[in-house]
Amino acid sequence: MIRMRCLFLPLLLLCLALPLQAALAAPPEGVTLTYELGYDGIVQQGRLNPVSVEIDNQNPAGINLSGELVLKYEGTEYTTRLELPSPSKKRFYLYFPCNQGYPQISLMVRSDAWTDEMDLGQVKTCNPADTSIIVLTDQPGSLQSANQVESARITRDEWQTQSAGMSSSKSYVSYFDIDEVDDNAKFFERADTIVLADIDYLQLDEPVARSLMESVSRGANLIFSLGSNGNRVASSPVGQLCPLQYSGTVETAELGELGRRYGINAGNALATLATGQLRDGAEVVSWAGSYPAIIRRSWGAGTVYALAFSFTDRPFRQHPGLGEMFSDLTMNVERSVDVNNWFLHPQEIFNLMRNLDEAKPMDPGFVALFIVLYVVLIGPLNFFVLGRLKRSTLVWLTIPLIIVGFSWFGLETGRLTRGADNVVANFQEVHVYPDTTLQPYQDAMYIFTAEPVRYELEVEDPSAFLYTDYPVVSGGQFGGPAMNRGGINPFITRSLDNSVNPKLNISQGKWAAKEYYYRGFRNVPTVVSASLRDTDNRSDGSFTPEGGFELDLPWDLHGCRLIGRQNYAKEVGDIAGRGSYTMEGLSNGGGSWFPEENYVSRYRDDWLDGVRSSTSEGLRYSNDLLLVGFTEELEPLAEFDRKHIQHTLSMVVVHLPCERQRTRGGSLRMAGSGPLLTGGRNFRLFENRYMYPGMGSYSSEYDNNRYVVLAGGYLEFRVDLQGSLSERNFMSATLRVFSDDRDGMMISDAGSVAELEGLRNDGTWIPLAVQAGSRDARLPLSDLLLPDNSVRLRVRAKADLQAEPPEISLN
Amino acid sequence: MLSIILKEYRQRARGIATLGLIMTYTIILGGVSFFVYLARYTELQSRASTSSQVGLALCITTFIAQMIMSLLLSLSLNASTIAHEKDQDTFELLNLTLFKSFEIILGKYLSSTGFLFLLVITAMPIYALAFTFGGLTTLQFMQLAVVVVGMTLMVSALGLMLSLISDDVRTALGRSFFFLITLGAVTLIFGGIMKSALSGQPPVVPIYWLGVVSFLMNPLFSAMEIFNPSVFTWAGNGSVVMPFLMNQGLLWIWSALFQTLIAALILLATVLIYPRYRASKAGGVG
Repeated sequence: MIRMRCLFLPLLLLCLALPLQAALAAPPEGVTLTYELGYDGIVQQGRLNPVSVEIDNQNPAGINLSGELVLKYEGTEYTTRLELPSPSKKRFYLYFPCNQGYPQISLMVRSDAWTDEMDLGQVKTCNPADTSIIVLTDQPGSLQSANQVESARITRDEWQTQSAGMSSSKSYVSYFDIDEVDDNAKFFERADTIVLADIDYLQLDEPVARSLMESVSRGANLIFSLGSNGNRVASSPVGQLCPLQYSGTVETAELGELGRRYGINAGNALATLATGQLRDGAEVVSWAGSYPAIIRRSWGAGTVYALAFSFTDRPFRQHPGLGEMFSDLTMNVERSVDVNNWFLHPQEIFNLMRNLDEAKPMDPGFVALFIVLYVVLIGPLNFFVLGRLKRSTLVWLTIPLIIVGFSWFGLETGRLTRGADNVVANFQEVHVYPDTTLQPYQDAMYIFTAEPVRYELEVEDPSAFLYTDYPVVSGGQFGGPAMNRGGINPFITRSLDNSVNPKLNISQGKWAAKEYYYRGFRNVPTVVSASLRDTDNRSDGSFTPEGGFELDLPWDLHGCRLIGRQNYAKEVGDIAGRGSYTMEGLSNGGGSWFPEENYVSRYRDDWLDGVRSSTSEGLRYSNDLLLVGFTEELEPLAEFDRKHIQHTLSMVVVHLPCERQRTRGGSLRMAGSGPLLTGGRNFRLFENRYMYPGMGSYSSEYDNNRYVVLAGGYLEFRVDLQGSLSERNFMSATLRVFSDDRDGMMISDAGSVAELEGLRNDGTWIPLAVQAGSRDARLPLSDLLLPDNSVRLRVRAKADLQAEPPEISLN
Repeated sequence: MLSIILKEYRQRARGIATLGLIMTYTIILGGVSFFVYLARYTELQSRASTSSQVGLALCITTFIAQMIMSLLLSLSLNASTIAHEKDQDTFELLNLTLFKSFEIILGKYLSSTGFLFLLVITAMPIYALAFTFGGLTTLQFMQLAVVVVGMTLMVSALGLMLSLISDDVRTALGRSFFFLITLGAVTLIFGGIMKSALSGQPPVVPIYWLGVVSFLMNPLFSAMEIFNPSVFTWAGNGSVVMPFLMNQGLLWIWSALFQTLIAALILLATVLIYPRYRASKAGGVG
């Protein structure tokens, strides 16, 4: 026993001799680090959020910092290279996709001279439907009245739902100096609206201008605040975006329709308005007397506004009406829709990509047969045969042989069913808009490896972001988010460099499949123009586009289909990348298609159905006609450095603007099935989901939107009129509102809780008398009929009220 | 020594118990794998799981089932190997032979562990099946094999020692299982404390070392690290370096080496104390 102890002793001493290292490294002398999360410390769920880190290295000994800066969130490390000689100061930007409230984030410095980890604590979070307004300015607080404005929003929550929906929304305004923003468009990914206030336009260099343009192409709003800044805007790198070609200024005390709409009175002050010519495609949204006050122009998927005035000058400075104005512009209330994401849902794409034959599940019957055969052979048969031969001791030879044989057979089965080739499948979706050569794209990549490999994936696009977990479709039976996430889930490391060119090093096992998903912008010279017009005059709101369009694309499109609102679809076959087309001249039929070997291309109808599904909400309001075509000619944006078989397909969605019809005949109808136009202050929307039990499970019966308008707020509707002039004289509107009690009883006198207003064709809102003891109000249509043959109405709440959904019937 | 081994293997080849053992072992492993696959098949079809996830699940469950059975078999086979001789009153006869103590001990040990290794490799086709689903690397498979080998060697040596110091099979088995359960529980507790400390403050020194030894003794921790190498990465405030970079993806090899060393020490101790127990049941020590 003593000898045993003697043997244990050295081992114990050896173990104890090893130091227990516990060290918190402090920053080297003269090194300071500051960081800012999201926009003004708030991050948003469902969006890409920036984290800017500024490191000042003034080390007296001249220590250089060399290593990595790491942002850790949900087990994934987002890294960027840290190289900082002494003395110097630099701002680094890291990005992470936030998918939960109050995320736990930590920031790490890993360098030769300094290793540290900072827990950033619980971070304040806003909801996916909330809006972010970024004001680039030297005067923080100049747009305070636009902060926390409530409204309803039609948007697509890409992390939870497949298509667009409506939800209540709050605005968050944050302020940045121009030198605080990254020149990568990822910085503005979260911004719904970017306001260029009174900045020093000389500081606005080309890279920042490009990132602004990319953001607008992707769907953001850009607002120029002109006034006396017009000249500097015109000579800046973003001047070409401005819908107003600046020529001078004018001073006026008459704010006209703009002033009335937002309650802004010039008083004794004169407002300085920029004047000039409207650029092609620009339209005036609001007038200040005879001068255009707000001008709008589409740019890619986004919108650019020019305010002819500077909102930081009198009489606009700090005016409460700015809140409603910027809310309207951010929500695109005039257009009644804000769909900021037209992409197919990535999970939908991967559901199809996983149909790769090599990656399909093995039949359980085969698995059972394999196991039963093995058990029978290694046990009873083996022993029985050797027993009969009186060679029982040979089992020690036959058992290993059977084991080796079955192991080989098992592996060969894998080789037969799953092949020996690495397969890369790639599906890219590119959206092409008129007026811009920047095309937003998303790329879904499925990599199947037949042999264990280590590879590097690099996306050669600085504006792209490689996701570790792609967004999830809500699939739970109770409407909650499904837990099955895809994306990158490496065993060894979840470390991604998303700083410049997104890069990933990863090991992948035998017969394993992994999914990658990234987004960014392509910069390809494309020209798209359209002279399309919806000429349908049927009462059911059908969509019949006529006219033509011109394309100058670098690729020919195969198997094209036109998609429009009201389920409009037309197969138009193959379309050459360059040419002029008329609706009448387009051929019918599916056109040519790609070889069957390309398994990604087997799902044409599914891809097209996916477009229909993902754009359905947008198309309900937008009059765009979508030309969807396919090509194999787009170069993949990611590099994969292993030998592999490629299955690639690119889907190009060309957005063709289509003019709405101006006159319609037939009977009266309300445009759309639900509320037409939503917006305004103090407006909230709740979604009630009705469930019923059945066969042991719950499922949604129907969704019912319920609106709450707080006292002083309003609901706004547009009613498209299609009756003849003689009919209109007899029209009356019935307003039906519900009281705030839960019984939802109809009140007998709507006038006691709400007022009805109508927009006169001179731009002013006039009260419409609700008849005493009833819910009826007669519409003076001759005053209210707008040039587009519609009537705009508002229900302004005197007390908090609910509407379920608001009913206005026209007789 | 070779003749002892050959005699043992001849006996096993003719015994119906060997057939039963191999069949039970393969049926349990195959059954577990099949039912795991069946349970995950609907997820595969509905694309809620990927093939590699299922492959990994198959591998993990096969490994756990194999580890439990290996533990039980190692103990029961070795705990009965000398105690059975005592029960059959053949222990004295064995001692009358010209075999030296270390030859008897090593002969018994090698014959039983050899058979155990054969049982261990019978799981290979099941693992091969998991390979066809992907998600499992060859390295992971090799690491698991090393962990199982280390554990088998250690538990077998322990069983053999307890078999020697026990008067009959029943006592030997009782002691063995008591020892195994106690060892498993203690290492789980201290290893668990160490694991939870990884996301908090560094533990105090005694807890730290008990945790380190528990990580080395209990193969569950090695398996956890094989399937998720970052599971023991320090995530708390400060940094703790474990001996031999154990928590840097190398726990499996250190664990196997440690267990082999323990097995060698136990065998050495068994050889040293063997003369005291030659007198079998009646004699006891002396």
